[in-house]
Amino acid sequence: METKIEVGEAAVNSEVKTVSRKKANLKKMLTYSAFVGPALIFFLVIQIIPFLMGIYYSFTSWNGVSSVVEWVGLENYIKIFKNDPKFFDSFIFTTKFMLASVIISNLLGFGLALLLNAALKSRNLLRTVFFIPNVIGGLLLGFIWQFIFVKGFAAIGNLTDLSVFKLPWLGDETTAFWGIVIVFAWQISGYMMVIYIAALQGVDQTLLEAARIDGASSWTLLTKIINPLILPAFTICFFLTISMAFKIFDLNISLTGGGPFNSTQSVAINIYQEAFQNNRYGLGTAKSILFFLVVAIFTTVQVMMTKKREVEA
Amino acid sequence: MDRSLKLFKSKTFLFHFILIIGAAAMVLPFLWMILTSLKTYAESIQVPPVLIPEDFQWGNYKEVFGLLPFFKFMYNTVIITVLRTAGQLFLCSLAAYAFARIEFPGRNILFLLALTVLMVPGQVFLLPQYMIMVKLGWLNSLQAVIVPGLFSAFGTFLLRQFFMGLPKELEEAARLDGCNHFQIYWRVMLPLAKPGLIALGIFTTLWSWNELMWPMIVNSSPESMTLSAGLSSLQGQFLTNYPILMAGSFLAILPMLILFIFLQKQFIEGIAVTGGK
Repeated sequence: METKIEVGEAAVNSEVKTVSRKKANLKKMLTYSAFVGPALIFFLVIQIIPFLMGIYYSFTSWNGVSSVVEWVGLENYIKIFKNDPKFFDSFIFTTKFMLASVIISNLLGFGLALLLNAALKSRNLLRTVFFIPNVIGGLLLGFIWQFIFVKGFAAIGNLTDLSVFKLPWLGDETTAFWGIVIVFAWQISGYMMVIYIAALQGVDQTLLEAARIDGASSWTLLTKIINPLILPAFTICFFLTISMAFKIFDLNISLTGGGPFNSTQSVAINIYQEAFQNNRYGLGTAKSILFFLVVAIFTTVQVMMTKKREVEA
Repeated sequence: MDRSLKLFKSKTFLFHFILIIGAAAMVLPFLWMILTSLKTYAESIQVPPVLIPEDFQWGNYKEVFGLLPFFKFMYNTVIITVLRTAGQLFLCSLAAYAFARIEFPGRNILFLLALTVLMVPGQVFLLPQYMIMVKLGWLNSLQAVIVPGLFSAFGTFLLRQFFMGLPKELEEAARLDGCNHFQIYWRVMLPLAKPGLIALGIFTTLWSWNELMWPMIVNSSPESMTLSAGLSSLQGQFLTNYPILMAGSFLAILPMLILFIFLQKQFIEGIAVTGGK
């Protein structure tokens, strides 16, 4: 739609100008469309049109199969707010999970980056090792860790008598929650670490030396010089972890399947079940639109906050 | 001098100690997976645990091939991954070049739109995309998985950032030599953007190989199923048969592990590139 209007404007403008200008403009338009056109078509068909369709279906009671699509206005949205405790629970779970895993994986990632940045010789090897879990999809990691939690931890508990391992891992609400957080942080910390290391390596060493000569402690160096300099890395890492944690699906499915008693059901699973198992497409899309708004608000506020600090620093 | 050297040594020792424990925590789960895949069922759940299986049960792997059309799944996944990666590299780099270097009307609005879409959770697109697939009659076909993955706002954004970082003088020199936009894009920018392209290639490959939800929704027949979707069916049927499940999982992650071991430098640099801006 956007481009059509633009073509019109360009045409009007060029009429006023000379013929050669017109030719040059036409050539320019052809160049733009050749570069942007193919991507634009895909962008429209894969994302923009589905997004608009999604908004439309969220106001209907469509079940996904029938040929009748009934307009119900805000009914789906009202239902979600008034009478959908399961969705509300999944939302609370996902938010808690997001907060816990964003904090833990960034702390771990940044801590590892600091350590690795100091340990010069083994840096590359260790960096590779810490990154390995990111090569593997959440589904398979969930399989592996489910086995470790259920069978492995119990066995270690028997051997060592440590109470941590004797907990009913994944068997109750708390251990299931922390189980997912542990695996998520275990996987993603290495990813964050790589970004933090790249940022740390960009820090001008002479600045640090100068401060050290002036008698600054390591802690002061970290908080007063290094952190302000690598704020962009924090922005990126928080953005990535927030959006990944919010959208958690695969790992959740294979590790706990949302259980026990739906206590670890993420919003993504809730929407998936609503639409594809309960066959309530309209309600499912309404949920996903609401979910989109929440994620958009969270990430925008986060990026704005960290960006603001970047400017101040 | 001597004392500070000692202190330094003990500090690096401590650092290494922490790091090595961390590294072990990264690797041990995989080691356990491989060992478990070679155990009998009884060994896999025995308490206290058996570390090394008495007899290596290679038959577990054979059983996976019997339970699932494994090679068919693998073939589907490879085709899907290769085509999606090629598509993204081409389409995203074209658009990214235009966003970075050509002033065209509507550029900023379009770019803003693409950025907004980046934040939309996949589930929002999922149902309407599914409906489009139904209308096209593409359910249970490879193209249902391939086509929606040929382009991404993320890839365009990534490469645009990369193009923006390249010095403008180079293109100006090329333009003076009589190059048009296509020649600049193809001969000057693409070769310079190699690290960015490699990063996008790696991201797309990993994402495509591991993706679960979309292939699970559009393809339910074994003919066009991908590895992750196929393996997820193993969990339901054989939840307790860990050795079989682990054998299947190991086979599925092996290609990505090998790719990572060979291209580890590019992987790490690619990730670092994306965090740079």
